[in-house]
Amino acid sequence: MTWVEPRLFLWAIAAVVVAWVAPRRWQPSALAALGLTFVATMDIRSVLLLAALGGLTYVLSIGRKQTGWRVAVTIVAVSAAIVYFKRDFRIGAPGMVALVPLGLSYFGLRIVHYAFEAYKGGLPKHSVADYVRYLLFFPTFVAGPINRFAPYLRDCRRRRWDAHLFAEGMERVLYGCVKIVVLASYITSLWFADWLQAQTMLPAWLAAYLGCLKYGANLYFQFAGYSDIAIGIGLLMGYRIEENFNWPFIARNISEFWRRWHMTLSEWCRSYVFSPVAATARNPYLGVVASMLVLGMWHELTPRYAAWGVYHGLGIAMHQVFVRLRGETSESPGLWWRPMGGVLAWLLTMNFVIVGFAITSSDTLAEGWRTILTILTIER
Amino acid sequence: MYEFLNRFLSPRLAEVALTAWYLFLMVLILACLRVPTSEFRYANL
Repeated sequence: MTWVEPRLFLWAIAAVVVAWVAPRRWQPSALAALGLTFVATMDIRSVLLLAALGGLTYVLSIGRKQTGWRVAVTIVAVSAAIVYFKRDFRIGAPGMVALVPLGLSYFGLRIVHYAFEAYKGGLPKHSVADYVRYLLFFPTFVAGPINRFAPYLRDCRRRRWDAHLFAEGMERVLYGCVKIVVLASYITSLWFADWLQAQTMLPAWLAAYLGCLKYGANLYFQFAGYSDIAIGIGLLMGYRIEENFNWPFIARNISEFWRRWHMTLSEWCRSYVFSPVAATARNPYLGVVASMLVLGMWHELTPRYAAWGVYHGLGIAMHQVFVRLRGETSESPGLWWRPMGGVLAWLLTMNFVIVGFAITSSDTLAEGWRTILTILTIER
Repeated sequence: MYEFLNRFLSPRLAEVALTAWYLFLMVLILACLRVPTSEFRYANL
């Protein structure tokens, strides 16, 4: 399923029309009803599962006295659902997506966010209807961004017709389509892929490296494109959804990369995995590795995604150790503002990320490891 | 995009340029749509 399908675009148009044509008081509810209808028509069993998870979370999260066990039960329930439905799930395998309840992974992150914020007392005053509308928010249901409850509620209450915002939304949707159709599908997956396949005289390491580059470029343009479309549809409806990408390929260190790539997910992991783990273990490096491990496993419950998560976790931890040893904060200019240092830092970071794609672009961890060895010219 | 164009062009010309830019992008999308969209592996995880 992709946003560039006519049926999803029709749903999007319906959502935008409903967002403004329905009586003002009923607009958020009408949008939630549309979201529910969307899920029901795509996959009815998803409605049942997501309703059960959402209902359980709400029941555990209401009440004046919040205890840690309530959050723990929510986390266990969500994790169990994800493990059960995604235990055999493989990204890219044909037919696999149909086996997973629609939007389960993103939905799960939203309700865990809600449960944690309820526990910390960080939720604004709201009703159960607000909660349901948040969970059924149509633009972000299938592929994120992982929007947070408080900003969503604020937008619900403050949204007004704004022609500039509407125009911005249209532009955003257009740019998203360009990223997906032109940059990802045509240039990267067709033109560049064909060119690469035709280069029979390339050294093995270079062919492997360019293969990883192609994978990474396709992934970025697709993901950023879908995020743009979701954000654009949100703007058309009068909602400002959180940004998901911020030019990640200009990052000069791996920590910065993860502050620019899939920002809503890395922010979620920072808030709900890194902070608790680092505080409990009194070890920020363990927190980072745990956080990235969860991030990797959230994508797919396989050794290759676990390895990819740990790879990036170790990279971030090493960068933080390096920064600490230099006596700088990660934000201070230091060496990296000097031209040569900046270029070197950028090259190191980009190659670290690209080589990491060898793990997720391969079907198995063993194959990914062989690709990495080929890139490093250790193995041909 | 309009703000960027407005830095170099008059408001009227910026609007024309922006319209031309959008039309160009739409034509580009339509031209590339003949190629099947590569599967987005990270939707509906």
